[in-house]
Amino acid sequence: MGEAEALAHAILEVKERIIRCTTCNNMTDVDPCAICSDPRRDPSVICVVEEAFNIPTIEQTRDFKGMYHVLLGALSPLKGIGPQDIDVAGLVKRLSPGGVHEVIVATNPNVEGEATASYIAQQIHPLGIRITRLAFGLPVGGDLEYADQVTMSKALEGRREI
Amino acid sequence: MKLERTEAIVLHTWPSRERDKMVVFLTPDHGKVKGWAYGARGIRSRFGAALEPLAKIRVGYAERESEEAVRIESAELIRSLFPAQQNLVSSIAATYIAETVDTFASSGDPAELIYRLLDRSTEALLGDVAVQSVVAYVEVWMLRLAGIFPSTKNCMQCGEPMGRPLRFDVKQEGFICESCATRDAFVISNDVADELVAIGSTPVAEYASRAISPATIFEVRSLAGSIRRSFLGHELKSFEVLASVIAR
Repeated sequence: MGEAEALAHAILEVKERIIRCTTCNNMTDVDPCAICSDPRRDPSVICVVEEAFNIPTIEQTRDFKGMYHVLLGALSPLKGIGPQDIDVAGLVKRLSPGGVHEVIVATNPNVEGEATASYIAQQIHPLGIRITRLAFGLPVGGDLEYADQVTMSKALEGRREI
Repeated sequence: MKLERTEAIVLHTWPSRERDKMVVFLTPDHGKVKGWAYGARGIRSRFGAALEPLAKIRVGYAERESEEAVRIESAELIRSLFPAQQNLVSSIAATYIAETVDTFASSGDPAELIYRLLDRSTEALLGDVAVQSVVAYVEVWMLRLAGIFPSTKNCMQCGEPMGRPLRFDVKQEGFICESCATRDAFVISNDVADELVAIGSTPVAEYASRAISPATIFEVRSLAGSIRRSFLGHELKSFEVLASVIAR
């Protein structure tokens, strides 16, 4: 088999085997995914991300031991993507039985991510669950003098005691 | 390579390649400009929050011959809409306003009046105003500036001055007097006619801080929407999304 054929075969195999986890929408070859079926993970905290490829970025930190929920997108009016097109209903359904104490919203720090976060907060607040947003602020290794007014004001807003 | 430095408002951005963004911005002197912002998607991007939709910026860009898109060299933030965009309805409304302007503004030509409309409207969204009134104001004014909104003073058929109530002829897409009116004309309520006058004569911030009934604003928006759809032949992509968040 030539290299091109092997590559084509591998792509087809991925397409056939990779599915979405029915609990969190993560990409997986087993359902539920490795994160949802791991007994060492804390089911009382759910981190909400826009896409499955955001999960490895958070996993790299090794600081987060909770579960995930993939929205399968963000509110994007210019693409005609409204509230009914992202999986907030699935998230609310996961929260309804109780047992979840905190939802961390880790959508992108841009206009679409903020609108999505605002919508999620609207939907979850009535359930009385703590809802937090990833902090905005200065990148590690950056210089203060190059920070723009929005980043600086967000960094001040999210300051913490040391 | 020609270098330009001007004030601008970002209309639309989309990710491109690994770390770049394509940005469409409106300038007073050159209308709509499309440009590459290299590295803009990175966490440590030198552009920071300057290239978020509806940010008012001072932009420096280089035009290259035979290339449609310019290269954005610098973008300093003058005013960010981010605080207002953290509210769901304001955020979606802002995107809808940006799409409205993006649809009707042209590239290359001066667009001072459209720029001023967008500048004042985004400024208004940062204040404590009725978001839907700002949206209605932009919808009507954008159609006026594009030369599409028909005259409310003279009958489009006979040219005679019109009295109240106004009548809108759907087939002819214009206001028509009582004697020229056919079955295709419907009566516009005096409240809506008053709002059309107010939109034409009041600055946006002042207009959007007045108390207007939601039903009247809905009717003004319906009329503007009908004229816009008839001209474009389709609806704006963000229209339905805005309608769905307003309805919630």
